[in-house]
Amino acid sequence: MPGARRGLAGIAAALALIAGARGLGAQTVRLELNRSEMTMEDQALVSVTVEGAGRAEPKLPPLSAFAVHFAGTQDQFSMVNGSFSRRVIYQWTLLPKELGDFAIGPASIELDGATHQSEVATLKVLPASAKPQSSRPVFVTASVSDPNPYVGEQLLFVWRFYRRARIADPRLDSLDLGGFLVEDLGEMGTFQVNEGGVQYEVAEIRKALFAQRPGAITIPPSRLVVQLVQSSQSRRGIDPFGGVSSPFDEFFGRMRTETVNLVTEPITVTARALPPAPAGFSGLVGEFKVTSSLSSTEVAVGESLTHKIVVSGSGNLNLMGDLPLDELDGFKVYRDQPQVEIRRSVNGIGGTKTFSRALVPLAAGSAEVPETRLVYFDPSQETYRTSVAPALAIDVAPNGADEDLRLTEGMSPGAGKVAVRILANDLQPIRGGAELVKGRAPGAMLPLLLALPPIVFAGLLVARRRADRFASDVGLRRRRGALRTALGAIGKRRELESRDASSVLRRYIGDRVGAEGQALTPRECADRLSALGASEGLVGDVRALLDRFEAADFGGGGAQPTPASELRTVIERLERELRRER
Amino acid sequence: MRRFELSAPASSLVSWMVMILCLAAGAAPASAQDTAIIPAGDPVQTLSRANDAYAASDFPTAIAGYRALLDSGHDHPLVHYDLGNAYLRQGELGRAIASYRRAAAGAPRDQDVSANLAYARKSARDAVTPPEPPMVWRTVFAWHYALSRSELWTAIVVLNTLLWALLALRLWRRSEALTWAAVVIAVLLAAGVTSLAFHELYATRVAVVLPREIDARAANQADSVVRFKLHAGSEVLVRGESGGWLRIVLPSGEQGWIEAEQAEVVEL
Repeated sequence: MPGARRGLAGIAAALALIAGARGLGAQTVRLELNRSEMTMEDQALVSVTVEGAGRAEPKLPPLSAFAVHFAGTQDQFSMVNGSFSRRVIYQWTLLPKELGDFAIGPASIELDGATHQSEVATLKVLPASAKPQSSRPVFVTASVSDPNPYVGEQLLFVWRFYRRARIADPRLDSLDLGGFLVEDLGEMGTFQVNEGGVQYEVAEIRKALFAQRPGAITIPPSRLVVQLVQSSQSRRGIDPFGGVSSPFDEFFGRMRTETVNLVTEPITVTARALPPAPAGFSGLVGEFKVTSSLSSTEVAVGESLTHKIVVSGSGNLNLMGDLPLDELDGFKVYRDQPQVEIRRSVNGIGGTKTFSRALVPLAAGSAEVPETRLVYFDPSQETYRTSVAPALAIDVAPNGADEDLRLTEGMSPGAGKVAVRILANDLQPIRGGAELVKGRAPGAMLPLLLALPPIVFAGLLVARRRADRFASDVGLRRRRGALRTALGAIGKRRELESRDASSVLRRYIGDRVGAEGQALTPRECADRLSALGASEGLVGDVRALLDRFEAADFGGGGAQPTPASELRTVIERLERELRRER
Repeated sequence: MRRFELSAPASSLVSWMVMILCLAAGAAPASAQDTAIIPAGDPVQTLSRANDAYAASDFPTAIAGYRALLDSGHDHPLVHYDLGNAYLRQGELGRAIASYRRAAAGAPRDQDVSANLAYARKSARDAVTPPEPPMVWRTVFAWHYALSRSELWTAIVVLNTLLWALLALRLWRRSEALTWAAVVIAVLLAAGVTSLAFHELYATRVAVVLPREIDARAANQADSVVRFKLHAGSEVLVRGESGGWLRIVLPSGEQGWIEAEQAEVVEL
C-alpha cells in the first residue's frame, strides 16, 4: 500500500505540474492582511497567495516602516472536476516602527519574463496609547522624572511592564539611552499596583540619567516581545481568577500562546545649559554640603594629624573634579587619594566624596586650617550655591626632637583596611615606541633557518661514516698513511744507508699493496706495483733501486749511501701514480 | 666494515619531520610577502607623528599614521593596538574592536590589549558572545591559543635546531637520555608545526560590525527578509562569502547574510 500511495502522489504531482505548465495564463497573485489597523504594539500578518503554477517566489516591496520577518509557506494541491490546481501561501510578520498609513504591496512574481502583481492593501498604524491600557492584559510604559533638566542634573528613567495575564519568553531589547551618562539603580524590581481598578504585576527598571550636553535628546521606543498565554476557548471575562486563562484550561490543555509586541512611546528630553559658572565651581549639579574635621586639635611638632573634608549629597559625585585646598603655612602636607562612595536607591544616586590629607606641624603655636568652600549648582533653585565648612583651630605644642616625618596615624578612619573602589575606567594608553617599527619579521630567513640544521646534520653524518670506515679498514688506513709513514722515516736526513733506504721503500710498497713489505723480493714488488697500475718506467726505476739496495746489502762493504732526495722522489712519484689509478 | 645507520623509527621520524618542515617552510614566503617593505617615509617619524596626533586628540591624523605604518609592512601587534585606541577615541567601535582582535592575535598575553578589548566590548550593544574556542580546547591545546604565530615560528626554529643538534650528538654518543630528549623535542616540534598549520590553513574568520545597526538577511540579496539585526561592535563567525555578502553565524546557531562592506573581517 505505501508503494501505491507513493505512486498516486507522484501521479498527482505530475498532473499538477502539467496543469501548472498549461495554466500559465491563469497565474494569480493575491495579497491579504489579517488586519487593517494596528497599534505600535501589534503585529500584522501578510499572506501572499500564488495560484496557478510555477515555483517562483513572490517578492514584497521595501517596507522601511516595518520590521519584516518571514513566517513560512503553505503548499496546497487540490483536484476539482478532474483538474489539478496548486496554491502556495507565503506569509510575513510585520512589526511597525513608525506611525501612519502605509500601503502594503503589491507583491510580485516573475515567470517566463512576465511580471504578475497583486493588489495593494493599506495598513494604519496607531499609537500604542490609542488602546486604553485598562483593557489590555499587558503593556509597557517609560517615563523620565523631568523632561527639561539641566546638563549634569540627575533625572530618573523608569521603565515598567504591567501584566495581569500569564506570559512566557519575554524578550526585551536593550534600552537605548545614548546621549546620557547612565547609572543603574539596582536590579529589576517587582511589585503589585492597582490601575483603574485592575490589579497588575509590575516589573520595573530604574536608571539615573545625566545629560552630557544641552539640547534635545530622544530616548527611542524600547520593545518587549512576550508570548501571551491564553485559553484556547472563548472564555475571556468569565475567568474567576481574573486573568485571561484559568488553571482548568491549563489542566485540560486548552492553552495557546499569542506573540505580543509591546513598545514604549519615544521620550524627548531637552537639556538646559548651566548658567555662567562662578569661580571655584566644583562641577557638581544637585544638592550637596561640605564638612571639615581634624583627627586631633592638639598636636606636637613633628606629629601628624588628619584633615578630612567630606562632600555629600544627591547627584553624580563622579562629575566633581579635584577640590582646591589652601596651602597651609607651617605644615608639611601629604595628600591622599580621594575616596568616593556612591549610594544607590530608587530615588537616584548620591553619596560622599572624602578628601584626606596628613598635616605635620613644623613650628609650635596656634594654627588654623581655613574654611572650605564648595560651589555647586542647585537645579531645584536654579542657581549656584556655596556650602561652607568653618575654619578649624590647631594648638601645636613644642617638641624636643626635630620633626620626623613618621606618619603614625592612619589615613583612613578606623583601624581596618578599606576596600579599593574602582571610580572610573578608561583605555590603557598607546604603546608607540620606535621598537614597533625597527624589528621586522624574519620571513625570508625562515626557510634557511629551518633547512640549515638538517643540512649540517647530513654533513656530520657523512663525516661520521667516513671516520667509521677508516677506523674499521686496516688496509685503507695503511694505504692512506703509507706516504706519511715513509716520509716520517726519512725525516730530515740527507742520506740513508742502503739497508734503511730499502726498509723505507719496501715498507711503503707493502703499505700500498696490503702486504708485509720486508718479505717481498724486488720482483714481487715490481709485479704488485704493476698490478696496481704504476707505469712501466716507474716500476723499472723502483726495481732497479731495490736491486741496488739488495746488492749493497748482500754484496759486502763499500756500499754508497743513498741520497734521501732520490728515495723521497721515487716514493712521491709512486704515491701520485697509485693515487691517480685509484 | 661498520656502517652508521639510524634505527627504523628514528629514520621515519626524521623523514616525517623533514616533510612537515618543508610544508611549513613552504608557508613561510607568504609571511615574508606580508612583511614586504613599501617605501612610505621614515617609519619612526610616521609613528612619532601619529603618537603626537593621538596625544593632541587629533584622532583622524593618528589613524592615518598608524594605517600608513601597517600598509608599509610594519605589522606589529602594538601598532594595531594603538590604532584600536585611536578608533575607539574617535567613536568607531567596530573598527576599534577589529584592531584590538588583530593586536590580541599577535600579542595574546598582553594585558593592555586584553584590557582595552574588554573595555571596547562593553560598549557593544548586542548580547552576542564573541567567538571564542571552548575552554576545554583552550586548556588542552594551550600552546595553540597562548602563542602568537611569530612566537610559534620562533619556537619551531629553536626546536628544529635542537632536534637536529641532538641527532648529530647521537652520532658520536649514543645514550638513552639523548634518545628520549630527541623524542620529546620531536613531539613538541610536531605540536608546534601542527598548530601553525592550523593557523595557516584553518584560520577563524570573525566579522566585526561597523555601522550602528545592520540587517542580517535570510539570503545574500538586498530584498531578502531580515532575520535579525546587529549593532556596532558585534563579533560573529564568518562561514562563507558570496557576491559581496558574508554568511555569518551567531553563537546560538542562527545564520544570516550581511553586506561585506558593513563589517571588518579579522582572520585569527
